[in-house]
Amino acid sequence: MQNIRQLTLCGLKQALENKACTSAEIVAAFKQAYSEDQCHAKPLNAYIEFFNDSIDSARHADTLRAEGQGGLLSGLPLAVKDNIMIQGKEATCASRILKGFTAPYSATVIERLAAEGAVFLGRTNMDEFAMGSSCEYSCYGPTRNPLNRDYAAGGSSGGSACAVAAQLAPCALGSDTGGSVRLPASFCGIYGLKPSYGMLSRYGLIAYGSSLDQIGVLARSPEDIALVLKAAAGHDPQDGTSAAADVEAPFPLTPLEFKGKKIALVKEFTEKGVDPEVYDITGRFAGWLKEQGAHVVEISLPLLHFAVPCYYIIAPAEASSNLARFDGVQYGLRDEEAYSLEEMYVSTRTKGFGTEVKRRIFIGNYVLSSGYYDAYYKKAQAVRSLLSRECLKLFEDIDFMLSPTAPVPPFPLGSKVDDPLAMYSTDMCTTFANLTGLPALSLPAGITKAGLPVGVQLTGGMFSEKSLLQAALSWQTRGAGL
Amino acid sequence: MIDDKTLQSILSLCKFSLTAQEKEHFKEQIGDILSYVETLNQVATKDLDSDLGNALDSMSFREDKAAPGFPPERVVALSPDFQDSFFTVPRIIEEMDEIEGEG
Repeated sequence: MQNIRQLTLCGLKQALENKACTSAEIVAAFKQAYSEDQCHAKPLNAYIEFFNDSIDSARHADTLRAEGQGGLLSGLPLAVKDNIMIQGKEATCASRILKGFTAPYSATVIERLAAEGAVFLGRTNMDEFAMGSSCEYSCYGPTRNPLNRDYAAGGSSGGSACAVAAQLAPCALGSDTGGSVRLPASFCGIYGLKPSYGMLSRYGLIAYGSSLDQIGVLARSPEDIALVLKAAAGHDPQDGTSAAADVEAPFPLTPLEFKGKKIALVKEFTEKGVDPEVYDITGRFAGWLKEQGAHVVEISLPLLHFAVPCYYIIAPAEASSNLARFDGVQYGLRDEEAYSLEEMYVSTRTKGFGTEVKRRIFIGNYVLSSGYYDAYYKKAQAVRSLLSRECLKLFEDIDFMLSPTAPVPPFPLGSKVDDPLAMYSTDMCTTFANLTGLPALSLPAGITKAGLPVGVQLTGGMFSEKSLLQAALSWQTRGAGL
Repeated sequence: MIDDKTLQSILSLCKFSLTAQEKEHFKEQIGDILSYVETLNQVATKDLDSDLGNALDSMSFREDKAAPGFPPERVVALSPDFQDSFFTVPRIIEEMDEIEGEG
């Protein structure tokens, strides 16, 4: 049998069904690889914690399967970002303020995957509270890019992307507020889907920007994403923004026929600020789409230029409100030395939060404060409204929007951490999908001369995940080797 | 660049503190970020309501009926200090005195 770790999630499913291996053997293979990497001179730092009991869960899944029980994901392992709660496990959002916090309940997505027999391998590293584009703002240190360990893995779900790309997990959950699934997927050369807002329940996902957050899936195959989506999607009464009706979860997946499909190549995302190699790879992808019979048209939507500034008002505003709960009273870090209540609030939060989180809380409080609210927050909401309407209108005429996922290839560790605006510009092509709620998928599209991966992004209409994943499957089976 | 008074006023809302060096750094960085996001002023939005006009409108509400509560022991276990059915915190009396004094 092929090396267990090289198999995709669907490949492992087939291997289990054919009794070619057991779930315990699969988990043991990933655990051994993780342990070996820990001994490397520059460990990847994909996991914050590899669960010691994952092997027990796998054995339990093996027993159930032998008895003819077990669901869609029976015995299949997944890694989970450190901001998605698994009851009884730590969930820290890679922040000092939550170190030692044990999740009192599981996220709905976790419950659904567990009910289908999934085994959770461990918690993956991330930018603190998902605020970052490189996975360097973590209290556990940065995650390294598995293709070049001196480069960033992308963020914020960098640990999840790295684990999948380095074959330390076949598939992983991440979260995406402004590109946090798609950017690391692009940087690590794998597939990453941010589903439509409401497709996957946010209950149990520790909130950053509630109107933007969405749990996503990272894998080495679009079929794996479809499989996880099938198990996890569906309305959840615990999340008021969960899609009211059950939406079509796409599994099994068939390749998309592009003939007659209309695909918009977005000028605003390919003109200024795009690295020449990223530009060329995106152009080659557009050429492949044309060869497949798609009608690729260049369009201009000038409002897209304003997605990043709009995002960097709305996301910090929501973050400043969501993170107000971390005050040392009910859970998480408390500065025991503080003499008064006010001093406890201030010293706990001063010691608990990292610099980027403080920056965003500050901006959030600034744009929401009296005197600035109309000029910043209200203005951003109006621009968001306008952008949403224009995008929804555009999708009446087109099937997909095509752009690079990130304007740049992976960059060296440390090169942007002290320059917030340079870091924010990495989100140039991704934030609009969160502002509008649209689903977007990053596909591995090419490699730079330096050997670093570059992704392209396909965005679809609301709840068009099936078409997006079908398009990705076509690329994987017919085009990815080009 | 934002001024010292604004910095201090917003920091009091944030409930964290910065060292003198961090303050100088913050004033410059936050100033740059605010200048950047102010590019939104190039977009004409007069007479436009900010109703979002997309899928975010479709909030659903749970049925208004009693449901099992969250097991209290799990909440208590997370608390840094929980005594006699209360979350305990440091004293607040001095602050009250200060407030009265200021009044």
